[in-house]
Amino acid sequence: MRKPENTIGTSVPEMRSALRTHRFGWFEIVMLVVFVAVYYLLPGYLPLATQVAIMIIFAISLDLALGYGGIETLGHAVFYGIGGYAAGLYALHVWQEPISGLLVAAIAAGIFGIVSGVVVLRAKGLTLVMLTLACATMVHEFANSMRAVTGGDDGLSGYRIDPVFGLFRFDLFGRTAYIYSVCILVVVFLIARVVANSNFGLTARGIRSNAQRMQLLGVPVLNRLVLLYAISGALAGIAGALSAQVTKLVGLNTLAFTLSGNVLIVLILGGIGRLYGAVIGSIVFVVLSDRAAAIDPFNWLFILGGLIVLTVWLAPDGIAGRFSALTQQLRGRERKS
Amino acid sequence: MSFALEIRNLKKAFGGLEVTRDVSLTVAAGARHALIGPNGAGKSTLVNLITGVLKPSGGEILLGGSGIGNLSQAERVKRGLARTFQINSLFPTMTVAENVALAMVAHDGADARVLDNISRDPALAARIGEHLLRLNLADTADRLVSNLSYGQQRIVEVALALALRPNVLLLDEPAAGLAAKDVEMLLDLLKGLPDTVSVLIIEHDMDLVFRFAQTITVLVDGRVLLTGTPEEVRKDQRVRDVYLGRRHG
Amino acid sequence: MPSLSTLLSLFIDGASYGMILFLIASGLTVTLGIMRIVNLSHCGFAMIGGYAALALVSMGLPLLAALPIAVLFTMAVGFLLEQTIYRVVYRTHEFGQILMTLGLTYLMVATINLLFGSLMQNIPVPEALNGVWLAGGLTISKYRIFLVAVSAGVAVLLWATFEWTMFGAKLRAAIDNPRMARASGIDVGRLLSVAFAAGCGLAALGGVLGAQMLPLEPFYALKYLVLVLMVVTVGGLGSLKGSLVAALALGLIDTFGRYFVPEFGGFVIYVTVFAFLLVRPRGLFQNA
Repeated sequence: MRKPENTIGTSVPEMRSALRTHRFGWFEIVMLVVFVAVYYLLPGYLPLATQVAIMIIFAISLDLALGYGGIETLGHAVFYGIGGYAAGLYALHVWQEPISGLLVAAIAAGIFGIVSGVVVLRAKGLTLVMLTLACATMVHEFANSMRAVTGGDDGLSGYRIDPVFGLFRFDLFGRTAYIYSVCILVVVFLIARVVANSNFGLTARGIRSNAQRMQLLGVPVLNRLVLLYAISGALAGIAGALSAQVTKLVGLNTLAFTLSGNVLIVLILGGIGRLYGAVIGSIVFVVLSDRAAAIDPFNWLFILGGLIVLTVWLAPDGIAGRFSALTQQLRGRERKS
Repeated sequence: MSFALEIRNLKKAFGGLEVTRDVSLTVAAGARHALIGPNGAGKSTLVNLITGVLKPSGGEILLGGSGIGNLSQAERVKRGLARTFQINSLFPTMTVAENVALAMVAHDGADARVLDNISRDPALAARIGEHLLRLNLADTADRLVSNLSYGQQRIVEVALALALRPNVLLLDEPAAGLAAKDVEMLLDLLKGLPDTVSVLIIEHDMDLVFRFAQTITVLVDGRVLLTGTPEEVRKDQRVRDVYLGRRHG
Repeated sequence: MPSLSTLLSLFIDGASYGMILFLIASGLTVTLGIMRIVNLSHCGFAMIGGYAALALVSMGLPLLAALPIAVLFTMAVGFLLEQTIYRVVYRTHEFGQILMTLGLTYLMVATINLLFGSLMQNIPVPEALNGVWLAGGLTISKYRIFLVAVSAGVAVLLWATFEWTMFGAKLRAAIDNPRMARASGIDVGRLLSVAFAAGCGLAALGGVLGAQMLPLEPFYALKYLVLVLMVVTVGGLGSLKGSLVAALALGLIDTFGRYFVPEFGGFVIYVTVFAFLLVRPRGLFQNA
């Protein structure tokens, strides 16, 4: 196997592939084309497509925490909900400008990520799962009990959102909402990509792979996990805020266990730890659940449940994982020939 | 003269059981020093004391002249003491290049940088490339560690420790479980290490030890029996007794 | 300060609520203790039991006759699933187990929804247990007393099985150290199957008896799942005693919390659980 005179794998581009960082490729181009095409070809589906974009952002945020850092959480909706309520309350009481609303939501969710992360991330495995779940349920119940502020069961509504940049009014057909959400999605994707490709992203993957050894390399693991959790939380907060701004409603369901479960399912469907798994998973999940609900609103849980069981069983790396395994096989064949 | 690693009157007792009894040992700068002894001689305990897994009951450990006895394992690594583990402790789900990169980035204190793109850093890429080339790992750079052979994983273990640019490298039974040809590969690699690294190797494979070490310390029953050149150790009657005469389990 | 009689009836409410939680959680803690399987479908078995009893009662059977049939039916369903789908679940990693059993729960929800509709349903309480006892200004629901009595009986039975039977000894060994148990000739796989089915039966018992407090609806399996998981985690994995104490404590804290600080509703209990898990991440009684 050893070829001393051969220096395969040591040039900078070779090293790039050995370090497995995310590179732009045809996937991103196809996605951009699809997003543009949807705008022109399927104007009736813009609200649904907006939901897809928001779900992608949410799933990307989870991918950073779970796929990169290995933070196993059953309570990621807590950030989505906090972001949503922050954006809603901000629009209701402070300012109706949307971009600053997103920032406020990101900061609120990020801070919650730091505070809850410091206490929760000390745990591992099942305890961590339970703590994230307890934490999210706690915030859910808190929002439920603060009716005066959050509207409780009825949700938070009655606020309006100013035009984006003072120019683009949110219209009835959801055109502005769609373009706005897709633009934010692109920004979030780029942010997540920077994080994933950075030294810090590598560190996160190292922690997921062998946290104990990372500690022995002198890396303060808890500290790094908290930072990752905060970044992930802030991005999830942006997703929640987008939803709040676009639908003009924040309900308790944004904090619910079901949403935490759904985003996990999205990521498992798409494949974790590779960013674009979040994209594929969200499209499949949102479109499928919409179609299934339209055909038979009461029974679509059959499809969803079956899908989850089958995915974990047959394709534990998700659709994206199947796909990259396939391309790797092809590449291997190329190299040999 | 200052030593790379110096151990003075080190003691460790578990309850009433003394496992390390007044051990003193010096590893000179650039030395190739081996620590041998029959099973139960206290080698593992000594490694654990030096690396900070265990706290000594008495005595001093000096790294480059300053005491490290109260530092944590991670702090000792930062001060330039790297080690390999008997049981592989690598990042199995990551590639060989990523394993090395993790150690380098951590050593540089750059592991929390969110904005530096690892794959856009030609200096880092070059460092990793050189490192892998030197350790004959270049053509495994993009392979997952979990897919490597056991022998290759042992080499990556050494590569990971060396990526921390240590002054002192502590090799904890690096040849354990290796096939003969892999031992040769390991020996080649160890002989090629730069003089800036002082090596303390704990090893059962006597052939490897005598071919590699310049100085050998023999540990028996938690005490230093003698320290000398391979020639002196080979000739010493007490060593022969320990290894041949009265076999220690 | 509320009157003593109010406190007492709050106590009975909280205790009966806690005992229902214990019944549902007891099976989960045992399977979790042995296999470390995070079975998010467990609450679904309580739901299946509840609906099975509902179907039988609406066919004209008295509740007390329907109860054992519903329990046996749920055990059969649990056993069947354990022999099939759960074989796959066991083989995946911890997080995959969480997802698969979540998917299975969705399937249960959808099935119940298909068969019984999405409305909340109530199992009528038998005449003899309906109504209240009045004793010196004290109003006590007969049904609640019945609940506490039955669940206490079951808890004692469980405890006796665990402590005094060969089966219980094997279970304890398997929870303590599955590998050692296997090495010493215990068929841990079969033990788990039996414990799993028994756990489903207990959950079904809780689902039927507790339908007054935890009304039946298709989302039952998800709605009360969090609560049941918390009982198990706070109690300590594999500890029946822990689950009992935790369930009673949660039931009481929740009931008293809702009475004294109604504006915070269910918030009190989750803050308590969260704080507790921070201090004792392994729960009340876990030696490992």
